[in-house]
Amino acid sequence: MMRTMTGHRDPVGATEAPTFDEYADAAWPSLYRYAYLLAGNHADAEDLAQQTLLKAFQHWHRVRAADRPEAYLRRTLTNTYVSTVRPKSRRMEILTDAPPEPAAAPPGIDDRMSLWPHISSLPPRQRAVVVLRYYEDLTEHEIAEALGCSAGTVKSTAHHALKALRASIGDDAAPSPGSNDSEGRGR
Amino acid sequence: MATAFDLEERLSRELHLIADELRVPPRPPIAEEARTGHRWYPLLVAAAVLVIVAAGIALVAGTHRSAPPVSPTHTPAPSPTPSRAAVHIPRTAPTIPYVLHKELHVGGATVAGKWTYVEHAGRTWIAERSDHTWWYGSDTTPTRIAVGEVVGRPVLATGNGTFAAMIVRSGNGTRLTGFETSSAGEGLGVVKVPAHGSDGAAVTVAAVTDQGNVFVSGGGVSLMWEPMQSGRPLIDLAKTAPGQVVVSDSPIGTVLTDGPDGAAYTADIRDDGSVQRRASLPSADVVVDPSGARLVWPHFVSEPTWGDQLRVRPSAGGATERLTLPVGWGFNLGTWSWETPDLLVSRVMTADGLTRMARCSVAAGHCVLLG
Repeated sequence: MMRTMTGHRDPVGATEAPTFDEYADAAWPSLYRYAYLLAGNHADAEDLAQQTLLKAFQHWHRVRAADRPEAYLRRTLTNTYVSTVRPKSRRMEILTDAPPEPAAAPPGIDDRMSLWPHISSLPPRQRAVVVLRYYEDLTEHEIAEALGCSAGTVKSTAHHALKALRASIGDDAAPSPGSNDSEGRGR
Repeated sequence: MATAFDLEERLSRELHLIADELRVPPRPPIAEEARTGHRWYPLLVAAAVLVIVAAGIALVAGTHRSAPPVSPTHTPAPSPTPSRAAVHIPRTAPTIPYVLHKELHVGGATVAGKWTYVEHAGRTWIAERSDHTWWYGSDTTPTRIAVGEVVGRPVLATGNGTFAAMIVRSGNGTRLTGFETSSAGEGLGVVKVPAHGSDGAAVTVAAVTDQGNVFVSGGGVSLMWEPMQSGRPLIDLAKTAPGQVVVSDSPIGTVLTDGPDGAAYTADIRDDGSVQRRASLPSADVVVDPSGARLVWPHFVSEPTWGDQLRVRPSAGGATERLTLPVGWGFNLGTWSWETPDLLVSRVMTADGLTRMARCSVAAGHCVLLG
């Protein structure tokens, strides 16, 4: 996950700060995995991760000094994903006869995936919220920062995403309502 | 048939499985033109400045040329109200608790430890440390909230901070609990609540009133707990006020929305769970100043930080003002708080991750960086 990238930051007064290439090499696998979960295919994942690193490179002196470089990368990648319309896939559709690469699980694990195809069909913002919440394990506030929206918007977006997923897999179960097992302190 | 909790577990499991089994290709090198391209930025900026200056000169010249002759009977317009630019915004450190660079500042001093979040009401603050434990206090001496795993975050009573409430997960299930912050943490009791709503969204504390009433919501669950009223059962607001979602509490009433994405409004929620509407709100994300005079809400653009604004207007209605930051800075979500009915303090950041504190003045219509 992306948060592991913080492990490459130097403790204060410890070793020399990493170069951009050292940082990018360490960050690349987690960045790529996050990008793949958003984009759903290798071509767009690589495009997204590379664009993110390019932006980080252009502001490297500031990124290196930031409290949370991984938060900068996450926000940049998320916004790039949400604000662009799969440019590489679109180019492929235009320039080749082959259909665009479908959003598919890596080979060999399709039979264990019942939700993944439905995640892939969610609108970009809903999909980003789902990935940030259930893969990156971010809080609502952290997701809001990554998406540049309010926590209330994150909450309602998550609500719609989960509702859509439940509908798509035909699961309409609901938990039982709350019940008291102890009352408040009386006055 | 799977439960909603299963859905979240499955989501987490499948996403991790996909990610873990991905074959990650080697990182492509950053193209040489990109590595050298940024060296031209100063020249581009200089060129842009020249263009702007030239355009400004042309505009001024054009304005002079096209200005109509002054009529002998022309009456000068009344002087504008004192220039907004002339309003002095203090650049001293914030007087309210805040977190910057993982330091928690309270009353001009720092609290020991690394911190990630703070909110306050009255003299009470509640904060999360980097190790994900929660603490509260009224000065620089923190007291641990030792209740187990907190779901979401604890919420303070909006006006005076007298009460705090939180949802706690343990081996016994999910419980709603709380305590008085003013009397050495005396507990409010414990009540069982569902962990998730019908769509799998976590149930969290939405609001705590100064009277100690607690509202929880999430995924269609909407409950009211009145711990100060002995023996009262949880009120199911989904039945007494169908479709209405409690978002927060404020000095001008409880904030609700008409459905998850619906219009926001303030209301009184009676003991029987019925909702009496008061006034419409421009956003569900309003923060009302403690005197109840003004409310502020965010307006964000799609790109990170650039062009972010806070918008302000009197609570009773009226003209909306905009609070803007210096170019390149954006507000950190949820970190703004009223210092006075005119001044607002927020943590701010650049797209590159630099963070500072800023103070905004409604009278001035803009914000200044602090420190």
